[in-house]
Amino acid sequence: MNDSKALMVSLRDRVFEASADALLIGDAEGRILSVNTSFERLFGCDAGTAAGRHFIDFAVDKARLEQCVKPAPNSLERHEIWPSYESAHRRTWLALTVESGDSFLAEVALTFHIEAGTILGFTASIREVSITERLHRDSDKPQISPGLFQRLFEASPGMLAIAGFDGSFCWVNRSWTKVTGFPSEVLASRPLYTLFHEADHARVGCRFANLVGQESETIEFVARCVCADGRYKWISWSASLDADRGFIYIIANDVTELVATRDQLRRSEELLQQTSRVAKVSGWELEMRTLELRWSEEAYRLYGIPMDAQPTVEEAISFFEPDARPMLRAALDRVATEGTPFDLQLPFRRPSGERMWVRVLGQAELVDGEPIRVRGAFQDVSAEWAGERAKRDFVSIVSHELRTPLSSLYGSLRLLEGGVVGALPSPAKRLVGMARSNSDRLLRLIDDLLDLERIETGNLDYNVSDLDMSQVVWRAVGEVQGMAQEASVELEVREQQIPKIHGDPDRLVQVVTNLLSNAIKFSPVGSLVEVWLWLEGGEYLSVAVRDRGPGIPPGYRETLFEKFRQVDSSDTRKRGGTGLGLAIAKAIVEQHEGTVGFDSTEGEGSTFWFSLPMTSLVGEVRTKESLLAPPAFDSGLPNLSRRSSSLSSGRSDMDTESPEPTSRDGLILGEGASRHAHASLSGDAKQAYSVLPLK
Amino acid sequence: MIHEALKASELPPFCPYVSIPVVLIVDDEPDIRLIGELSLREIAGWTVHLAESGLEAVSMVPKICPDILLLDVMMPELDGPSTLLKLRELEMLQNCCVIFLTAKAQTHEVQRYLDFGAAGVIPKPFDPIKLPELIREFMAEAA
Repeated sequence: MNDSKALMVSLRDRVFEASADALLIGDAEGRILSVNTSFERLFGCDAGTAAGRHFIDFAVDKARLEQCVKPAPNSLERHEIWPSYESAHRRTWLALTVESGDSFLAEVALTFHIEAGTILGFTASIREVSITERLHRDSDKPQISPGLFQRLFEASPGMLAIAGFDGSFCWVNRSWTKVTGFPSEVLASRPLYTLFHEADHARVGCRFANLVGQESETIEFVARCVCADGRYKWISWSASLDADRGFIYIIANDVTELVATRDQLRRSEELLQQTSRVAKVSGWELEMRTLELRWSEEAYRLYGIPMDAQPTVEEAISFFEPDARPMLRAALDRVATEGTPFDLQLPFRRPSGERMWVRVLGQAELVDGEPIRVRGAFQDVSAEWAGERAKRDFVSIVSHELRTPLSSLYGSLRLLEGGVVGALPSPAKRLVGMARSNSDRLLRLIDDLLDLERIETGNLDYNVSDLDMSQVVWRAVGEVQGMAQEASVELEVREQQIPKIHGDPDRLVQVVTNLLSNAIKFSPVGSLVEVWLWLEGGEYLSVAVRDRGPGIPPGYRETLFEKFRQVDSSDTRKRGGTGLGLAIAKAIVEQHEGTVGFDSTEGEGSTFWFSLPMTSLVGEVRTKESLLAPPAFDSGLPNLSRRSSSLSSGRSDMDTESPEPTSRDGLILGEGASRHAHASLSGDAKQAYSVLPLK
Repeated sequence: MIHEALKASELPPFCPYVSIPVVLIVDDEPDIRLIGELSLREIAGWTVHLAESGLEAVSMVPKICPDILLLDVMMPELDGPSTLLKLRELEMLQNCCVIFLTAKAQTHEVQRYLDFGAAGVIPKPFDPIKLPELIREFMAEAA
């Protein structure tokens, strides 16, 4: 017995030594007790040096091996792989390091020896894993033996198969069944071609013939394949030939959804292309990091340049007319830095010289609040502009055609009225006067209509400069002075010293004149019309015109600034207005980014006011964001306490003691005792304003 | 006094006050020509000549040597500014006050006409009663 036991021990030792796998025996701590010659060979170290070292030291990822080598006993207990408490197995793949420092991939099988819940030690079998080597080492027939590679083959989500030259499957994995619904036995028993849709037979057959005839090493194609339920799926095939062994290796994938998605995508792309061609809209995209500009096809068509061109941002801008370029650059700059969207219509010129109008829109794509990409669109709006132009031409032609005969009429009547061609009898003179004043009114109406049309279509030219609002107010007063005299209305100007602002002086004179002439028209004889000019909290300047007229009935207040909206349409004739003055005033003020409004009490009078931002951007590039919110106006009249605190020091040459406004320029306002203007400059604002009765 | 004022060196570019000014009205609209003529002849008592086109004006100027040229801007063939340039080329406008007549002009256009060397711009329709006075003001300013 002892002999046979000794023999067995000796044999066991020899088996241990002779094993082709590297073997080691370790203790509970993972220290190596013994290794075999295969281990020495594999790791390049002798048994003596290996003994006493930690097995963990041989791992590239030491933490992971440690977990494997020193499992918590209860984790072993729980694990279903280890039903036996006496020994437990663990199999894993690990990267191990040999003595020279190289590393290799190994399959490590660990067996733990356990007694009474305590790990006594372990044995490990280490086998180098190299897929290619493994295949090469296999016999002629690919040996998908039960084991790692079969599991890999089976577990692959891709459809893997090996077929013979005769056109039948030798092995198929489970994915085939999953995709086609056929059990693997059915697949293996069928000739390959029966899988394909009849319409694809010729094409697929040709490909396989190429492969088998060794004309191509690998073939790739997409074909419809039949499924167990009779439906077809799109399968992409990739097959390569192993001529030596007479096998075809196949990797296939179900691409049905992909094909459907691609079809869908192609259809929607076609639809988009078609739509954008019809709507003349195209897209662009600017990558902020690389400044790479991408265009849709239609954009190339718009620009009239070849599709393979790769324009830079600056090149793309250069197609716009020189005047428009700074505006576009500024807008791009803002969208790229602040994310402010823009929408501009700019003149554009194709390489062929054709002039166009192009609308450009841009919007930032933000990531964490930072613009990373700007997306936008181009739209050819030349047709719209042409229509606009036709309309504009129509208005100017009509107005010219109306003005010409009216001018003759007016001139002739004026000569008759003036007695240039002989004195007229009194009734005739009255009739001629009436005709003259009506032709005059018609002319003014045409002018106002033309102005309004120009303002509304954005075609009114603004002659912008730094202007002194005080001068504007006094010029307007000068214009209506004759009218005030005729109506026996007194004019008074109360103003503060105000810094210059940016705007069109002539147009602002027009605004003040319109407000003043309205006020005069509705003022009772001998009453006072006041013009106020003051600074509103440093950010706005305001001008208010106050009359003591009948006031505006509540029902008319909402529409007062619309065209032809006088309170009583008979007023238009009676008062000689055109019904457009307020609409024009409002439009001009709004072009200066200001606001207009009024306050009125029936029977007491009305105050019309407008206020302009001190930093008006009129005539410059504007975005929606830069349009300032209207100032808070609780009343059309200046609020004393608020205003007096924000006043500047005032002019030293003014008589600060006098609460009475002093005349500023008698010449402008005529000489009549009851018809003079007062100017109360802001020497002492409180006193200057104290003459104003507050509501 | 008059003799002194006539000394060539002290003469302003145009000095209509020393004699009866000669005016040439150039306008393609006969109505405007008539109203202008009546105004300047009957009210101001000036000598008025009429031309109905820029070309006619170019041929008339050397013969009449006007002190004042009232020039319509919009005319077929040769418009006002072109007429002025042509007359300048012929060097026939020394001591002549050129005033443009135009439909209600926008501000920047007025500046353009003044840059052409006009003494003033009168928007149409003008008030014939005030026309002579307006022209005198422009001439005084230019002098």
